[in-house]
Amino acid sequence: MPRAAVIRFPGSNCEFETAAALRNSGIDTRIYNWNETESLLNHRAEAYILPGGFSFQDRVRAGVIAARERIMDIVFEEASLGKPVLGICNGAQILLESGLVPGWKPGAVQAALASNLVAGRSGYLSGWIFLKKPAGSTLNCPWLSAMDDTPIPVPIAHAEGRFIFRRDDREKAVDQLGLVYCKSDGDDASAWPENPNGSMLSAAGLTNSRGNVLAMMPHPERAMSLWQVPPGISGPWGEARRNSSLRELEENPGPGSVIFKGLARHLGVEQ
Amino acid sequence: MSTYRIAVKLKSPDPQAVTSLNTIYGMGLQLPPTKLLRYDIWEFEFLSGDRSAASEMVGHFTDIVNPNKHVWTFADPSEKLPGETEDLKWTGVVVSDIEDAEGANWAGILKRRGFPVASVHTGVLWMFGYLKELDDSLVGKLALDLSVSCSRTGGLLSNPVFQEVHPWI
Repeated sequence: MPRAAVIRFPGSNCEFETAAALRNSGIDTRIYNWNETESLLNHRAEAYILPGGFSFQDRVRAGVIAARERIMDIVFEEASLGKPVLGICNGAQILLESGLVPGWKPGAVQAALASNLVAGRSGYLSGWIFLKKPAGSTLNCPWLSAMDDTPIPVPIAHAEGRFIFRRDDREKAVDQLGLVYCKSDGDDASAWPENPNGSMLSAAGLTNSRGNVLAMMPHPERAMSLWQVPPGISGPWGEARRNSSLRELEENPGPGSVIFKGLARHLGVEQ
Repeated sequence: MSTYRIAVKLKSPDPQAVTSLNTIYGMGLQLPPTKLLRYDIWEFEFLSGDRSAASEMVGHFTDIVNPNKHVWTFADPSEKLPGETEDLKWTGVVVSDIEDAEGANWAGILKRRGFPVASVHTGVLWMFGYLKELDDSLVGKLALDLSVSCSRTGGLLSNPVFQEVHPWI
């Protein structure tokens, strides 16, 4: 039985990197197609990951068609048992459209990942941003358990990644902020370019109230190795990138690995 | 100031409409629509100029109407749209983003190109074709229920946190 299940929808395009990131963290992983519900029901993993991409071509709204698929019933049930669930980019959109996140009323759609819109800018964007856990966060999230206070650079690539909450829900959302965009020195990101898409509360990742489900827009699986970090990036990770030998670049973990390391720690995997 | 609204439809079957209808069937509703059509809706507020000026402007931008793959028409809820058939009772709903970034972008583009446009609003018009024997008010309610995605098991076509829905009347 694999310990982690990566669920591939038609149009997912990050499933192999995500599975590789999990395996490199010592976690036995299998990729399941969206219609392999029987197989997944029989095996039951210990953690579930919805990778990035464009499920069902993002028809109607990013993530909404996948959220209605039967396999999400399994994810929903497993999440309610407290098992870790991670949605990356399109996976995050699926989690919000399925009502797993923020999950104040499980199954209800209570937040959105809307089209990017900041300072008159809109449309698709890709690049590297910095992430941190919000100051004073008390969330008990397995995915974030290995992360310290150092901001990490991670790539983003999306057109609909702007976290939006209803006005009355903003206070509640603050308590479930798993990751926020920040400056390279860790200062809060109040505007573009540090907050690249105009997300409310500078949210980059949001959990359910229990903390076991994390929906995040950045792609940690694309920053698993130090050589993937752009040499020009500021902060300690950029410095490490610039000062490393070729062998060190190959062998040393990148900033995104901390997310998967958190799951490995949660599952008690030796690394 | 004059406002012109156009509806743009794919000549071929719209994959978004096909997928949506399949998903709606999967939701197991007692009274699903028989057909579902999808149109991009553009509303142009002109400072000056008539319908022909609007028509000429639309012809300049294949991102609005690509004649190779689209048909378009000035849209009026009292008139039939391309694709609406006589055998069904049709009711429509317009879904648009509360913050219409695409419309704002297009207004900027059109102004820079010298067109006398004050504003642009974009949205998606979903036309639901129901069995003719169903009551008008019931058909309107069914369409509206399907249009607002309140939960993963109810509604589909808009997320009420960032989108709004208006009946096509």
